Amino acid sequence: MIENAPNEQEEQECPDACFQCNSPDYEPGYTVRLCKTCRKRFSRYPLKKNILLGAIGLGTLFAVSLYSFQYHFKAAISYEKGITYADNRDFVSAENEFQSILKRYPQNGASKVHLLTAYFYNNKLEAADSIRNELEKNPSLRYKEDLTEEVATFKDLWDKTHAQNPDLATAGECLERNRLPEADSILRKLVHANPTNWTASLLLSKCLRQEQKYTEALSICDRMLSYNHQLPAALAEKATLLKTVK
Amino acid sequence: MIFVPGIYIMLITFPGVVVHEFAHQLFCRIFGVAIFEVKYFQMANPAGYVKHEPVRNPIHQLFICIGPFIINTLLGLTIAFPAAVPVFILGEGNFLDFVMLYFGFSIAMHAFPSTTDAKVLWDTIWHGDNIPLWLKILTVPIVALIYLGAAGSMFMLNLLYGMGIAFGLPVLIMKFLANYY
Repeated sequence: MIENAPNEQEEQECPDACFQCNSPDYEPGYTVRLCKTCRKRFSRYPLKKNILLGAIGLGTLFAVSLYSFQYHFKAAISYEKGITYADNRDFVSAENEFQSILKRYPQNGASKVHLLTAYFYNNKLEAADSIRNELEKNPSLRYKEDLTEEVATFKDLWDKTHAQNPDLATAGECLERNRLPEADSILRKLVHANPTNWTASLLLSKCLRQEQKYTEALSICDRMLSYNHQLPAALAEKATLLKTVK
Repeated sequence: MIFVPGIYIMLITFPGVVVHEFAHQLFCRIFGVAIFEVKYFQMANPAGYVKHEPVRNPIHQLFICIGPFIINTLLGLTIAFPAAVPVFILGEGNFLDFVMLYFGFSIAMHAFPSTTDAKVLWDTIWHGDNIPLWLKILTVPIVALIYLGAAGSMFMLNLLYGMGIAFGLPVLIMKFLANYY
C-alpha cells in the first residue's frame, strides 16, 4: 500500500523549515518540507530485523537450491532435447539424450519410458523389452499417466513382432539360400501384418534389391525412415540401394 | 496495498505480501522518497502498506506503484526456477525444491499492484500539474490493467499468475533453451 504522509505541516514548528530538523534549507518542490539529509534518512527506512533474517534464510535456501540446479539443468536440457528429437523422429539422438539422463537419475521413470520407445524405433528390441520388464516389476518408478499408454503400445508391438519370429527365421533362411520369391512372399506378409517389424522390413528391402526391384526396395527404406529418420540399418540399406542404382 | 480476498490465503502466502511492500519501499529508496511507516504484514485489511510522502517526479510514482509487479515477478521466477525444473520436467523434486516452489509461488502471486496503488498513481499523474501528455496516456492502460488484475483476483487470477510464473514459465524457458543449448 502506498499512502501519503500524514499532515506533517501541522507538526512543523516553523512553516518555512525542514519539519524534522527545522533547517531552513529544505528541498523545494515537495509537499512535505524536508532538508536533503532528512529526506535521505527517511527514504532509507530501516528493514526490520525479522525481515532481514527471513531474507538471509531464503537466500541461503536459494543458494543450496542453485547448487543442485547445475545437475538438474543439464538433465532437463537433455530431457527436453530428447523429447524434441523423439517428436522429430530422430530416435538415435533421442536414445543418447535419455541414456545420459539415466546416468544421472537411474530411477527416472519418464526417461526410461522414452528410452524404451527410442530403443524400439532403433530396432533394439531386447534392450527395450528389458526396460519394460523393469518398469513392470518396479512400480516405484513413477512416470506420468500419458506414458502408460506408450508402454502398453510397446508391449502389443513387441508381442506382435515376437510372434512373427518363426516366420522371420524361415524368410531369412530362404534369403540366404537365394530362394528369393519365397522369401519375398513371406516377408511381404510379415510387413503387411506388422509394419513396425523393422527386421522383416530390412530383409524385404534386401530381398527386393537382390530381385532388382529397386524402386520398391527404396520405398520400403523410405517407409522405415519415415518412422525413424536415423534408423542406422535403413540408412545403410538405402545407401547401398542408391549406390547399386547408380 | 493488498486488499484481503481471504485472510487465510494472505497468511499462507505472507512472504509475497512482505516482498510486495518491500518492493514499494525499495523504489522509494531508489528515488529518495521519504518513507514514514512500513507494515510488511498484518492480519488485517490491508495486509501490508508503505506510507510515503507525495513524490516530486510523477515517473517515480509510476515506478513505486508498479515496483511490486517487477520485483515480485522476477524474484518469484528466480526462486522457483531451480526447483521447478527437477519437479516439473524430471519428476525428481526433493523437500527443498517444494519449499522453494512455495516461496516462488507466494511471491509471484502478490505481484499485482492494488487498487489503492492504482488510485494514487491516477491522482498523481492524471490530476497532477505539468504532467507530460505521454505519461498521462501511458498511465491509462497501466491503471486499467491494475483494476483488471484486482477484479481478476476475485476469480483467483493472482493465484493463476503465481502458478504461471513459478511453475509454468520455468518449464517454457527450459523448452526454449533446449532448442539453442
